[in-house]
Amino acid sequence: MSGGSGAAVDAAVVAALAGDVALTALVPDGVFLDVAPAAKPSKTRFVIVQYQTHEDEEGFQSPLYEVFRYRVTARVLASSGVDVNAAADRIQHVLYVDPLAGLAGYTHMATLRLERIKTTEVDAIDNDIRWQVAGGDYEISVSPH
Amino acid sequence: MARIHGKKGDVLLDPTGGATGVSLASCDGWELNLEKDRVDVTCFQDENKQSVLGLPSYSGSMSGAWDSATTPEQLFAVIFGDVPAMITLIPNTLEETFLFKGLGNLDGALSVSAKGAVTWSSKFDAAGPWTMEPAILP
Repeated sequence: MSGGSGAAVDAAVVAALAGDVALTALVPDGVFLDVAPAAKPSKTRFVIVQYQTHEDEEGFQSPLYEVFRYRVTARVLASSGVDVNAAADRIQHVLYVDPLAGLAGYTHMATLRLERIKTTEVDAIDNDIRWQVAGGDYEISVSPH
Repeated sequence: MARIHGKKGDVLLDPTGGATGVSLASCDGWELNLEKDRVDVTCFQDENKQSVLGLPSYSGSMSGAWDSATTPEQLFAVIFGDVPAMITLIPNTLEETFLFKGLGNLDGALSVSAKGAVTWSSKFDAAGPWTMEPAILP
């Protein structure tokens, strides 16, 4: 058992979210690692996946399993939280309910939500703009093979 | 020789009790207990309590993560059987000639939590003579 760098888990999280039709209907501008790409017209409805921590649970010779933690948030430029909350519901369904598929080098074990996130952010440039942010911190355990 | 880390430890099991041990998959720890019985031989007029030593117990435990591909066949089949397994405990596979081995009676336990991995543990005691290799002069 060797697993890998863990990039396969990053990619699988993004792919799972991007592949959910209901989620992409709510946040059609895409799912991105760390930051949304700068583009015109500006993106106003998207999901950000931020890698936070990783831990190898060591066994003899190789890790028994690995634990990845991600902050996953939908971000919607709106004054109301209705759409972003609906997107957060889909994020929860995709990551928590469904097994994570397409993990090269790993098998999905379980996903736990450690914390719910819901906040409103004031845009750093235009103080009249409000960003609705909702999602959660997710802990994903995978078994390397 | 140097002080070593436990990451390269290993447990070999031969369920038939023979000499063909196979590395126990998904194992993350073992302990070996060489505790000896103390027999009280204190007598009249002794000025302190005295004891004599019995034999080392050669009992211990192992632990790891449940893997349905290997754990049932490698470990639980031995636990459910009544044939003592040959257990080889290796502190470091980079120095694999340093080991403890002998026949053992195995039992086991499984732990399942909604907040973590499914894990197993197993205890053993000696079912025959045990040795440490390479042998040292007492």
